[in-house]
Amino acid sequence: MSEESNKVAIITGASNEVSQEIAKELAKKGTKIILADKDKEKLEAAANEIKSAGADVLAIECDVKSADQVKDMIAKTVEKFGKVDFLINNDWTNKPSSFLDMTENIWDEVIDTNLRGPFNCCRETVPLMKKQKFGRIVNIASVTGYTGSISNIATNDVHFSTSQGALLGFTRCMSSEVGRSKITANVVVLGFMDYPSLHDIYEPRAIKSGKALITVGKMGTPEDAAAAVMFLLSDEAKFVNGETMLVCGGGYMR
Amino acid sequence: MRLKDRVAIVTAAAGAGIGKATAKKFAEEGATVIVTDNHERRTKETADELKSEFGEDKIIGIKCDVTNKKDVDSMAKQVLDKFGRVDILINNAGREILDPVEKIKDKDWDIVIDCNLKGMFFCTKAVIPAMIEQKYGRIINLASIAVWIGSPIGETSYSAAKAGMVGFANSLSREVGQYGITINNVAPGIIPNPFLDKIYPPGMLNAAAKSSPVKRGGKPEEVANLIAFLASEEAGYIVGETIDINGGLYMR
Repeated sequence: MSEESNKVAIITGASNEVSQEIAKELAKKGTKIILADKDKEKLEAAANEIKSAGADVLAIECDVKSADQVKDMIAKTVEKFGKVDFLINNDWTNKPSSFLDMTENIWDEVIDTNLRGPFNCCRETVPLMKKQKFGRIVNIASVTGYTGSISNIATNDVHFSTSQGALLGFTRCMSSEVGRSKITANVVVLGFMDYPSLHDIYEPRAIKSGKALITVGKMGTPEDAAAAVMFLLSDEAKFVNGETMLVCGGGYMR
Repeated sequence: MRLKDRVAIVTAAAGAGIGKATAKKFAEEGATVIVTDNHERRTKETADELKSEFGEDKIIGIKCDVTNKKDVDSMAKQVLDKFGRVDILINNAGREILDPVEKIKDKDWDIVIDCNLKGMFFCTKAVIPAMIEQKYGRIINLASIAVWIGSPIGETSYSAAKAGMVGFANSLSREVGQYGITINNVAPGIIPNPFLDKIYPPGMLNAAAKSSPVKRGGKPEEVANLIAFLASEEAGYIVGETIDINGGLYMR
């Protein structure tokens, strides 16, 4: 049995491709998994898939924007499993809009899901982790937090890029607050990833422009993302804190 | 006179720190300066003080709460009605409320995120159409060393807000760079002023400032010098940059 086998993990945005891959990897280790997602149907489908892999799964409908729904989600988690060891914040949204057309509502929706969401989840989880003197928080962000959009063509996401940059700052600062309680907080910073939902956001020529920046010659996959997350959750990574780990095929280098 | 005939808006310009120093520096460089601040009396006092030094026609004071879209739109309209252009926007308004992440109240999170990020969004939106039309613009956001380094004193909301400015400036640069508009961030370290002593634990700022290679805090005027450079024509090829000014307290 691996060290992850008696652990409890929450994954938000559980129905997206990257979350699914993370859940599969955690299931292999015997980790108990809470899948949280605002879309009930997609959540059920995602949960069924992970359950069929033999994992102990709790699926909870939860919109991370809502502080109350997050509180409720954490309460249900504690009720069933008694603790939270891993928190993986991967719920996000992007509503492409040119800056000139960007309304306050669109701005709010993106900032609330992508920034307030992880904040809500951390706020409820950190006290539990502090008490047990263990925790791993991995926030998943986009490289647009550094670069501002992916390329000069794949734009129209000032709000999204703002939220991603904010998530980097939030996590760095939080890591300094929680580190002494044996909690780590890190970010996996994803570049241009090859998964179906990407095509809902970007036009083909925008995808081509982003692809052209990647030095390893191909776009990233959910497996690439999950591998980085699994490392940060592992005992081996206990000295990695406040890190923003680029998983973007060299498409951006600091 | 690097900013001669330029029209510049500075938010939160009526405090004791970087905003006011920037307004003054801009006026020295020949700009017409719109001093905006959420504090009505101080806005007037600061504008009056600068008017007496630089002339009635070079300074305007407008009370403006950057988190209030109506306030911001009205402020921008007054500027555009009067001058027909706006060349420079300094997004300096910010708030910080200290609390460990697990103790932050929703309303405090909102105050910090709204003032720093949504205020920047509102102000930028209000001036961008004019900047595109005139094919010239300089937007500078006041970020912080907190973009890059954490601290254990309860700054997660502030760090989030300041780091959000990086994504904002860079993404917007890609959209409007073609119109001669640059958007950059300035990330100061410890720049002591009387207001900051009310926010931070006693002695903390001084101790941190002393731990920098230059063994002192920065002066608002030093930050204003950097902002004036970025706001000038000379800096037209600096795009999407976050420039640290922290006495070496953190070196990337």
